[in-house]
Amino acid sequence: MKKILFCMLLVLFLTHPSAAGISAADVYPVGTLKPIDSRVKVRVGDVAPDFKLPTFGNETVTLSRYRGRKNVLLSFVPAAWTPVCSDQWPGYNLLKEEFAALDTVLLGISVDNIPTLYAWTQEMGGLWFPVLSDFWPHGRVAETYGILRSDGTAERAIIIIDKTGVIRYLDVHDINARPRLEPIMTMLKKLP
Amino acid sequence: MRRAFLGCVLCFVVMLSLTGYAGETPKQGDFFPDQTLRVLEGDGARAYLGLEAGVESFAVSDIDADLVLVEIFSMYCPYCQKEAPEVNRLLALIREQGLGDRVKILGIAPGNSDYEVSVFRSKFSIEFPLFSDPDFLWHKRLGEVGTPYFFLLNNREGASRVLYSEVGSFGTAEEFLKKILVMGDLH
Repeated sequence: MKKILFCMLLVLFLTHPSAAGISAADVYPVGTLKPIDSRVKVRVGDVAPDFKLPTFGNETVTLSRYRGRKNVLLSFVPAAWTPVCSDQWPGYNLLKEEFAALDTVLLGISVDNIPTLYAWTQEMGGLWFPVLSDFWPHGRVAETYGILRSDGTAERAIIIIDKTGVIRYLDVHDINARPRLEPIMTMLKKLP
Repeated sequence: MRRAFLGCVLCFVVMLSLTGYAGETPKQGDFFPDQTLRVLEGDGARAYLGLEAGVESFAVSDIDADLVLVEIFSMYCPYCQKEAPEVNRLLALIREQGLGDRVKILGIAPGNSDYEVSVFRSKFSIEFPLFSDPDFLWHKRLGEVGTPYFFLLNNREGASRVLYSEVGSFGTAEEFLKKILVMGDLH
């Protein structure tokens, strides 16, 4: 009887719907991970900690350069070449005009190094928004925001910062699922 | 003891039904799942698919057409974005050849909300119906296929039988339409 019950539980476990999105042949399967594995250090209403990070082509992006000019959406993803992450930014790639109309700059951030991010985003067909590498010192910006996981990857997080540099929206999301687009766009539309 | 065991079995069956059946991907000759899709008000899907007025949900086998092409896609999938203009061209070719009433196209988007589907529809000016599958119920039932995935279904016999089941681009619209006509015996 114990064996039968064990088999039932196993079947239930194996057939539980995964929120891990759509897999492709060239992404690394990671299974289901601990949803959140960090202690967030920032809150809505805080001034967003400044940072300076490299992107492709020897460029650097400094968060504070947008202060007084643009809203900023930070999209942290855990790791390149993984299922949910590979199914997130390509969607934002469709929204260039919408972000521009909402006076918002989108910055993608990952703890991967630049060559990895370059290869990964090329596979996506290229992205119109900057992708920043928080690789070295490893995950320093993620750690500053309190979203560096114990395995060295970042949380899947959406942080919206208004033109005064204040955090207006913070979603440290279940790493296994993609954040819905509606609340992000709704929040951006509320910003002056 | 026996009662407890039967209770566990009942609980197992209920929980299994709640998690959704993890199906295998239907291949050529298989029946397509009879799971239902929800019609949104005002999106023109009812008229295009030949459904009765007031119908709120339907099975693919209810669609009034000889053949139905089902695309599994996601707004977040770059390959689906790249394929979208070609699927639009296929729809245009079908209409140009006077086959619009006999061959219908629809899309199902696993993990996408209605809003996300509407973004995809708007960005690519898609004229055939698209349905969200926010909880991956269809995706699970179809064996968690990659995207884009295309199923061509023979809808003539009151059930949808699979004629084509492939992941990835179908190539050019012209070549694929020729294949459709042969596979679907629409000479």
